[in-house]
Amino acid sequence: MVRGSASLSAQIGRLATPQAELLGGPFEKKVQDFFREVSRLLPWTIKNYKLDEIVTLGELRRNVSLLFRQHANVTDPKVVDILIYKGREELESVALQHKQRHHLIGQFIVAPQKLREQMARKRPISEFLENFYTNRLP
Amino acid sequence: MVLRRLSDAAQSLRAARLAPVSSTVFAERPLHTSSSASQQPAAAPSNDIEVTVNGNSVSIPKGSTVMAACSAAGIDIPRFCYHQRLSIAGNCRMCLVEVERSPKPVASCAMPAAPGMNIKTDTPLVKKAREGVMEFLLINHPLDCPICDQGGECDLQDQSMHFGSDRGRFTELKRSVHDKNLGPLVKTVMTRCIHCTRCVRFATEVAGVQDLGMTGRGNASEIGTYVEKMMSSELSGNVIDLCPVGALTSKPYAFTARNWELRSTETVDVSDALGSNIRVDARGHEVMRIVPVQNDAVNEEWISDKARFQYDGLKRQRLNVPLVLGKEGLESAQWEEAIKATAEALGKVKGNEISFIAGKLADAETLIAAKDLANRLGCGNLKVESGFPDLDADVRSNYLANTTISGVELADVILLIGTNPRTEAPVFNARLRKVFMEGAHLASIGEEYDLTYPTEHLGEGAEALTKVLKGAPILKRLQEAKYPAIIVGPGLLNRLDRAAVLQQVHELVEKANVVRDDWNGYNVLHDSASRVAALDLGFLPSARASSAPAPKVVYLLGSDDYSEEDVPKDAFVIYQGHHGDRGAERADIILPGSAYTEKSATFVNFEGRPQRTKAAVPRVGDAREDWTIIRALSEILGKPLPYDSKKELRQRLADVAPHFSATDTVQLPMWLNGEYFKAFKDRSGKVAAQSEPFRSSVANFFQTDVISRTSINMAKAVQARAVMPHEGSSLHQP
Ligand code: SF4
Ligand code: FES
Repeated sequence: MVRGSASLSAQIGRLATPQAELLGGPFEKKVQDFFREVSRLLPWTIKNYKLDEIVTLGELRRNVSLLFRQHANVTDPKVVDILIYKGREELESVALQHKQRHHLIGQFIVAPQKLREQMARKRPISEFLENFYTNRLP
Repeated sequence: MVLRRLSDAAQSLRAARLAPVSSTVFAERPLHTSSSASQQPAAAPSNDIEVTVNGNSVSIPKGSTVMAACSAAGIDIPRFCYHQRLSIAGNCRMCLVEVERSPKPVASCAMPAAPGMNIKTDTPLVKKAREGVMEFLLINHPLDCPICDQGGECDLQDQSMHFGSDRGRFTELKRSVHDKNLGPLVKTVMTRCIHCTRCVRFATEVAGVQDLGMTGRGNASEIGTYVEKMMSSELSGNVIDLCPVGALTSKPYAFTARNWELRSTETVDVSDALGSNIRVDARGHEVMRIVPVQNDAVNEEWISDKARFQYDGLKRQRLNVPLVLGKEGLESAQWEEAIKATAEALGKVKGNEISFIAGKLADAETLIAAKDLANRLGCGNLKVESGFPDLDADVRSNYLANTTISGVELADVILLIGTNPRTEAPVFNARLRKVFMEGAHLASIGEEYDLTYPTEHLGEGAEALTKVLKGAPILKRLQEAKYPAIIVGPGLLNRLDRAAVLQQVHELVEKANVVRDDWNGYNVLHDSASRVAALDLGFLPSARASSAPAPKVVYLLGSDDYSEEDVPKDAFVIYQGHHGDRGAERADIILPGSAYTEKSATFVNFEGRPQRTKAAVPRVGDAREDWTIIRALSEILGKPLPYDSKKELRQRLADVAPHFSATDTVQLPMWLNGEYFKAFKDRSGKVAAQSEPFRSSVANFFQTDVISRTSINMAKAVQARAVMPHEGSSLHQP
């Protein structure tokens, strides 16, 4: 298993490594490329973590893109670089299985769902209501 | 806005009127724990005697038993047959102690203590005697503790561990006894019986049914029902607690749990308006059984069979997700969608086109939240299901049991009007029976029921009441009594001619002098747990409600016994509750709430005692606590209620009705000289008293609310009653 994972990680590492010529250039392109990288890993992720029981590839991609869009208003190239760096860290820990199934479910399925609910609301809701909806009241 | 201000004004008026009443906290009446408690003032010191127990001298009241002397000295005497609320039998001999100058050991439970007695409980003789008794008892007791439901909480098991010998000498065959069929609730394994006769004494003395008895002599004696029949008492389950061994156990609980794996929560029963204190034993998420908790002021240590056995209803037909009516019928929804849909429905119509109906199990928190929300929506159509929603609630003494439940023991003449306490509050009926046994005279007006004690039956309806007013002998008896009491049943308050009848009752109250300076004998009995809280909080139709159009949106707070005309065919119905029953079936939106074992909520019993339940098990599925649903709804409607936590909500409760701030106590209400009743005179003109007999409101004791209707145990009990009809049983009268 250990041996196997070394070669697997190399494989995935190749998949996830951007091509050298893309490293410079405008940040929109960088972001696009990173999104593609992530998307390339999604089918494997679904299969590997048995997420097909709860989510389809399209849904998962939409969820990920929603997380990308959370930063749509960032324009500073340095910040974009850092966000991509952090994103790649996440990607790697998914690829190397440092994350477990419930991490992925929480991060990429439940959290985006909550985000969507929140965005659908016209005005922000009170703490009480938030707790009520999430069944956190005593 | 105008409406809201109006209702606020009405509220403050009410609060102001209530203030002088409820801010006066009366000391509670002394409690009478046993039938031997006399009505005389406590024994004067000169009545005490001195005895010596194990070398220490103690002083005890004259007439106490040797056992009482020992417990006064802090020594626990082992026992099987003695029980403080039953008569003394003295037949198990486990309580033997040595008394100086007595030729043999004496049974301490039956022996009165004499002055100067020298009692010893730790001598070799006593040890030997106990060992001997244990050995005799165990001769014919089977060794089946591993398959016995009493195992782990069995007096015989504990005491044989403690006092028994370490070996047996018995080599013959043990005797065996046929099991008796006592119906679907009580299981018997009669071989285990040690003939303490607690069950027999309970049945005859407390429950007042002559069903159980002992047949045969000596080695052949058996406890049984003479001929095969079920116990016809509503209190039959209590023999399970009384039986010191596993001879009588609970049938529904059989083989389901061991007592050491249960988590206990002390809470309050809601199956009737008495508010019996109970202990809910749960394993994981499941309620495994319910047993009584001693509270001398309310239920002593008994509970009704419904309170004890209806718990299996909590596992069936539960609502666990919000449901919204869609194209394919009710479809499950997220809370957010369901609440939005509800708010939309409520927002579309005018305030007075909405109606709120509270069910029998609604708690005070939910009622006040619903009332506040209704007021904010400009809606005054608040109702409590099944009868008298419009009873005037301005004066508390008018709808409470003013003697208090334990105080009724003082009464010497009691007149029951239109009530059958045996089905409406069986544990209270046991208390009335106790009052009767102590020599009180009881009379009744209304349909005749078998109450387990004889009453002087004065007639069936209003004409009998008139007769009494004109001077029947009972009037004189009431007048001459030291503590006269009148008990009015919920069936009477349900009548169309209520005002006229109550007006007569009040005349009687005045004429017979039932309310005196230091005694208020006017009692009203209720039959559902939510009623008194609803009256206390003014959860009633407002003055304008009668002129409101037919409701377009009906909000049912766990109401399943609403009357058809309250919920028009074309109305949009929102049901909030915990069981799928009639209300949920009719609903367009279902919001799942929680049952009494799953929340901490306040209920007020019919003497006006607010008591709190505690959550024993978690809520099912995605259900929510009831008041939070209303609070959440109010926010979506844009009229948020000003409380976010239960603490704030309870503060609000206490602001509306001050007695809610002191749970577990009774604040005796003011009588106001019967001022209130004068209003009846004007109203009574509308509907004249009818000749129809006064009827109890509870015809089928076992199935009164949604939990007991869902319960299979209760259904079996009803069935058993039907196939084994008991002569004189009042339960199946139309
Ligand atoms: S059945 Fe139980 S309570 Fe009744 S006499 Fe036997 S041991 Fe006592
Ligand atoms: S307790 Fe005294 S004889 Fe049974």
